[in-house]
Amino acid sequence: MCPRLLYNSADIMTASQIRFRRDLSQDPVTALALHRAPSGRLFVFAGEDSDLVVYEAKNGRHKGRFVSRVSVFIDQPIHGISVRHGQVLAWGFCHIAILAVESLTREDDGDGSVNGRPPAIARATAPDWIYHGAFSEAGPSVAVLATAHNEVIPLKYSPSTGEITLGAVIAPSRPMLYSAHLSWISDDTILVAGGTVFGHVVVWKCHLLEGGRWSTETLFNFEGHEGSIFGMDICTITLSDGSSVQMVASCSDDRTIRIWDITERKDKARSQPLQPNQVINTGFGGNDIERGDSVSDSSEEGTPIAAVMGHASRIWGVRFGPECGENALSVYSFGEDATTQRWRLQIDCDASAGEPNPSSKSLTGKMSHSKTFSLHNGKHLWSRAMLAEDKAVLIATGGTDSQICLIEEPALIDERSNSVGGSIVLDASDILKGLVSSKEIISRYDFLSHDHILVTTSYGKLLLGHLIESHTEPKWEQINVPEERQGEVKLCYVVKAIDPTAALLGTASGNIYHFSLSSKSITHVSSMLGKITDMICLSNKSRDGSRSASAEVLVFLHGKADSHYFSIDISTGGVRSQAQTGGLDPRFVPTAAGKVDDLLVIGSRHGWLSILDHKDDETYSPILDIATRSRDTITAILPLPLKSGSHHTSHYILVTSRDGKYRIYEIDRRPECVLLHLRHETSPPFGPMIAGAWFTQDTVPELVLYGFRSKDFVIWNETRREEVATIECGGAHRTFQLTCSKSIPGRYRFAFTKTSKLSISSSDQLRHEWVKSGIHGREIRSLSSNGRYIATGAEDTSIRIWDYQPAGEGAQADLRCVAAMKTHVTGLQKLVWLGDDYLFSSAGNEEFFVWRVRNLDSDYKGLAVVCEGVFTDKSADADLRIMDFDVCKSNNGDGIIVTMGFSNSVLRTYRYTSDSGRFELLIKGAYTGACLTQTRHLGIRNQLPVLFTASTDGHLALWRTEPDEGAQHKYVLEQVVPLHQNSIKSLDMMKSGEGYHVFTGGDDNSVGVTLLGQTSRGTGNASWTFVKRSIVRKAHAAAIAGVLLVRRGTELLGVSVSNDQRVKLWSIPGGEDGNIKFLRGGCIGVADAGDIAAVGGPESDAATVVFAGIGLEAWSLV
Amino acid sequence: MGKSSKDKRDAYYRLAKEQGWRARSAFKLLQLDEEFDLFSNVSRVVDLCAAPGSWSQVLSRVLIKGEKFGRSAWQDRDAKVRQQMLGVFPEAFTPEQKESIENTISLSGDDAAQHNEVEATTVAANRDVKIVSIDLQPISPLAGITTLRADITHPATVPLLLSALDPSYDPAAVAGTQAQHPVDLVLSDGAPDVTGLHDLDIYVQSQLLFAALNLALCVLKPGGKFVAKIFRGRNVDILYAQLKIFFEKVIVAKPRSSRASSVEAFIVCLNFRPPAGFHASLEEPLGVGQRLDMLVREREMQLPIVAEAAMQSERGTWDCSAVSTPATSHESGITEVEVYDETEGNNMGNGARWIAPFIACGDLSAFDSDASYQLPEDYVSLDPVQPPIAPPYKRALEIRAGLSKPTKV
Repeated sequence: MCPRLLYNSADIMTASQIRFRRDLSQDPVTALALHRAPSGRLFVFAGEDSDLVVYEAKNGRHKGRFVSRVSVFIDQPIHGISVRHGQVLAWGFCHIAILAVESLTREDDGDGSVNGRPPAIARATAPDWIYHGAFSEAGPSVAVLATAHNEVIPLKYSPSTGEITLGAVIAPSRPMLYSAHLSWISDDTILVAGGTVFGHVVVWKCHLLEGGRWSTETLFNFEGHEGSIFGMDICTITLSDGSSVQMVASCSDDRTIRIWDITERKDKARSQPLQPNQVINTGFGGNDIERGDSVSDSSEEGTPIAAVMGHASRIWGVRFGPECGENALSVYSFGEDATTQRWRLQIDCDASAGEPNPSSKSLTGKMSHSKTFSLHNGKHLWSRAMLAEDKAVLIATGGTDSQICLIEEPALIDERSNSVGGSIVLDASDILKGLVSSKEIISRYDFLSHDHILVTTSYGKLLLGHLIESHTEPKWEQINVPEERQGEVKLCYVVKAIDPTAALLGTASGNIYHFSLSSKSITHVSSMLGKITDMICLSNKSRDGSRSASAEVLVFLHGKADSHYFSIDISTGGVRSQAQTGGLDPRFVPTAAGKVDDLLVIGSRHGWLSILDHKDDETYSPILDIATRSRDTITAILPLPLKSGSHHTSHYILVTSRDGKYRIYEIDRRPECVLLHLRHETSPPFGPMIAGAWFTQDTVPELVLYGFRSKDFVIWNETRREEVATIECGGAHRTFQLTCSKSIPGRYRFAFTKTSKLSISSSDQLRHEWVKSGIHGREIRSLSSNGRYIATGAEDTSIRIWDYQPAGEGAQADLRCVAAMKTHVTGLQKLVWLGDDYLFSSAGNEEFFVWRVRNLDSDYKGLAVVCEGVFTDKSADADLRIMDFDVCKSNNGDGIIVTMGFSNSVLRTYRYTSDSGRFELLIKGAYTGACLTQTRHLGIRNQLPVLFTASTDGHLALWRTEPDEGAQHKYVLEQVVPLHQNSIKSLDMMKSGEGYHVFTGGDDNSVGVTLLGQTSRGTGNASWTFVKRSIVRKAHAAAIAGVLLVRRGTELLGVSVSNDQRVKLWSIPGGEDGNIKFLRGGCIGVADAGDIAAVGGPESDAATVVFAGIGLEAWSLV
Repeated sequence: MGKSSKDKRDAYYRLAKEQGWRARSAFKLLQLDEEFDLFSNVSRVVDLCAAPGSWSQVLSRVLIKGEKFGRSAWQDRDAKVRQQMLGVFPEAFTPEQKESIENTISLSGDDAAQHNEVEATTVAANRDVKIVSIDLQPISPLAGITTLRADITHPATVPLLLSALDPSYDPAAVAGTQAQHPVDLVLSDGAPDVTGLHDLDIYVQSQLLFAALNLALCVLKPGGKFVAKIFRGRNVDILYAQLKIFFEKVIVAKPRSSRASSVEAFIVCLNFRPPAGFHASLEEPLGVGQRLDMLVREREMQLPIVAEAAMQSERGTWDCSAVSTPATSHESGITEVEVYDETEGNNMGNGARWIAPFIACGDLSAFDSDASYQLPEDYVSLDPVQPPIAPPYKRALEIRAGLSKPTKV
């Protein structure tokens, strides 16, 4: 007895000593500020839930460097940050904090972590929600705050004592606002712009007088927006006629951005000051909707200078940027659609210039769209910051996806000229001034390297462009082509660089010419019968001993399935060897090719792949033809990087296609045959036209794909899941060429033909930087861990697999995306791993997929994932949700048992076999009509599962099986008991001795602990029963969407997470005696929590608990 | 989502159309009434944020026309039959019910999907009923109901409401913001268009709630009831604690017709009893400043809050009080465990907290708003009783649609 008791009390000791420690957080970024330190370093201040996090950006690395993190508020996200006078002013809801910049950015010399004590934080609480705050220009001792009721609150701060004193609330009227902006216009006067819930723009002045007195002056009340105003900004510019104009920008629920003139002119003809107590009509003007075209309404009073409709959904923010030409200003907007857009506001100055009294005429202008940055995932740009510097403007954006992007925009001189944004537009007449007739157009071209482009014209000229800086025009050199060759150059159909010093020209007459950069001349290489449609450079071998450098090229001819292989001396164009393919189906239209070892792989227009081997020296013959999963054109085939230290050639190929997907195949060479196995298949977030790909030359190679998304050309880093470049080019159907650095990210040139003109868009480096990388931009609904990897399924219909690296010595915990799959078309419901190599996913529309997951034997670190099984046994309308399911290996080794719980109360169990990808129905059942929320196997008996379910009615149910018609079985309800009042939103269970511990979380704020036991010990006919149920009714203040059981030594712990944004740790009694005990709670930044999982396994002491919803956090129990 | 697939996905959407309700939310009020008997001894009601008017419609049919709606209005007979067959919840049935269920089974479900025969019994209409409905959006007229188009957050709405309740109301009178003939029940089903920024949405929702409460403080009689929509998210327990100042009982209720996947719930406040000396003030509205938090703290000092629990009894009623010992065994075999949470943040900074008891209402045979239902093949999907209110971005959609149409020159 005695030792047992002691043992127990020791357990309690350990449980009470367990603490939570947050190791990683990927929460929505709700506030941002940029700060350039006197040292020249650029700091990004970010509000991530209640923490203020500082990063150093533009530090020469790809990613921002973490500098410091401090918890500023409790249970309250930061909604705004303003940095001025060496102080950081942060606010969220009614809370305010002031911290010294220095205390957040000061560092030790060596280890890079912030030195010393936690920074001192001055705090205060305002009476209302705060939308904006601004220090006075004079210094950090005075600031003002703007509230959600159009009030201004003066703030006094003493940096020495750290004391904040709030003054009395100042307001001319108290409409409810959705946004506000403050601007100090003198030492004692603040201009206030408020955007109301009902779409009004209210502009007033607040004078702070001696002795805490004040006065207000209402200037404008603009109507016109048809929805709430979510963002505002104020600016002053000087027009070309010398007049100064003050403007406010507003953006709204109605998808418009409007610019209003708030210049105070001497005669107040345009403003109508409102009486202090005058009742302003609220609500949206009832007739606005019917009025027709209010956007372009003519010179009525209160008409905006300009208005424009933009973004796919609501617009959350608007900021004035720097001037971009005479009387022109750039304006940036930030939307729910997760894009940042740049607009050009051109103010029409002439209209008022001639007038004797300029104020009598309203200012007009025009807004036009100039660029869209889609750098974030999912929805919502919640935060933005701008820093205008001499040479560039820096824009930081933060979103629901927890990502922080920093865009660097070079000073825009005048957008109408050709040279902005590293893009130049050329046509033949630009290039050959006076040399050619006006009808001569640029025909074909290719980049030799970043420095040279070779161009042919419709009149048979050959031009070499020396590309210098990205903004300046190339220097052109006409290559001397002998007269008899000019006709051939005119017929040139393909220009293909085979080296930075050489290119091949293929003509419609079947001739190949070699161009050498050193001799600047062309020589004939070979002739064949037919029109050359394309040439693929298979390899480029540098000088090898005595042999000079050579390139292997495959030449496609019009209308012919077979193609010609050449090995060509790069410097002379001499043919080393040549061969022809033979034996391909005559319908085969080759479009892409690659060479792996001595095998040729050719892809066709209709999605076929053919592997060809040397039959003899002159012929390649197919040894394998397969129809890929694509019926569309194969655009590129390239080998995967080798595994370092391996001497074999790669046995994987990557294939891109016009069906919007890329695939990785394993070439399985057997003595008697060769096989191709599909190992990976997914679509990047652009397309459907993927034009090609390459691997970077980093130690860990990264995959970069390029292609088209509607009118844009996109370069996409699949490994980092970042958009490297977006170039508006008009769409996919055009001639284009790309040259890209494989070692410097963002260094590329892209040439394309649009309306017979050649455009070259160039960049030397990334124009934007990911200060912090992100996750899904929508709610994560399901999490599953196999110990090694975490899988997340989200409302954005995508699944991602992550590699979690725990915090180590001096290193932050890190989450790296290793795969992303977007095959579901509805939001994910549930994800479950089975072992390390199978992942199952369910969603609405009865979607259920089986994913086979493998590691690749390559330096490329992406995980290979392929959808192996698709559930097809759907109901007539296929409109049910598969709420939950469980999977286990069949105990006779024959397939996998899958039991699904549907939203219409139906249960179905299938046997899935991976060879055929087939689902065979084993058991059917139905509950009362209530939606089934949880479905679990308790075990397998006679090859059939013993089932345990929970549902929206708060009951737990046990099921057994009975034979039904034919070979099928049916589920029979064995026992059903109430536990929760309504929906059981989460459930976890763990085997404990002979029984199971079941931990549940309900919509009713409760957590339940249920003990399941077996009534008889016989192995064959044991029957399960509910031994004990207990419930904590007020476990949380809101619905509990995630519960987890973890074992800690001999103890069982429960973790729960709720919509109240609390995490709670519970001690679960080991047996029938004792009750669940509350151990500890903590606040979490993950809103709308959807699920919990343990990385490192729930039975391991080192388990890390991962929470996901809107945001993701990893906590360890220490 | 097509109309008919929405009919299957959302039973209450379909029922609302079949039974002539303007919106599915009518069932939320009916189920709240079933649980809390909201309408008994009630003749004067204010309905805030009423558009499109489904709650007012319930008030009109129940209080003016004297109709009665029982469970049959939202009962899933198939579910009941299945519950019976499976032997689930046997305690939920009286012998008579069992008999009627057996009869239904013997009818072999030929009209099993015809749920629309509402058993509305009519009792004598009440002549003293006064119902005032307010919304920013126009509300189509309803028999016997005064509708006002006004902003409940605007101070000018108070005199408007008072004169609508009482034609002899004189705004210049001393008690200018108090109703002379107070009302028995104040309802608010208002919610903002959510932004997705959770705490901002919760704040704006709480501003609507406080605006409603502010009006209620002006018009509600002692002992009156207040029911409002609430978002169950972060810091909602602070709101519960603040409502508890004014009412004896504060319960958070979730009708079966409100989806479990939604953060929506209803706060049911019973027995209005404002603190002594408290007066509703337009100059110092609730919802801003620290006034409420100070009241909560004052109250806390006077009577330390004892964890209070109202438990759902076997019959599903809410009034079965739990003994607040750490663990109690009930007939149902569930051990009730009380815990005390001293998490950081509970007693710091943001305000005092209290978790109101939770009640799921509408009995278990009610249609499940999270479940999908099979409809007969010949089922004809009905049009909504009232078209949805035009969103502010309606025109943006129209303009975009106009742009994408090919225009012939």
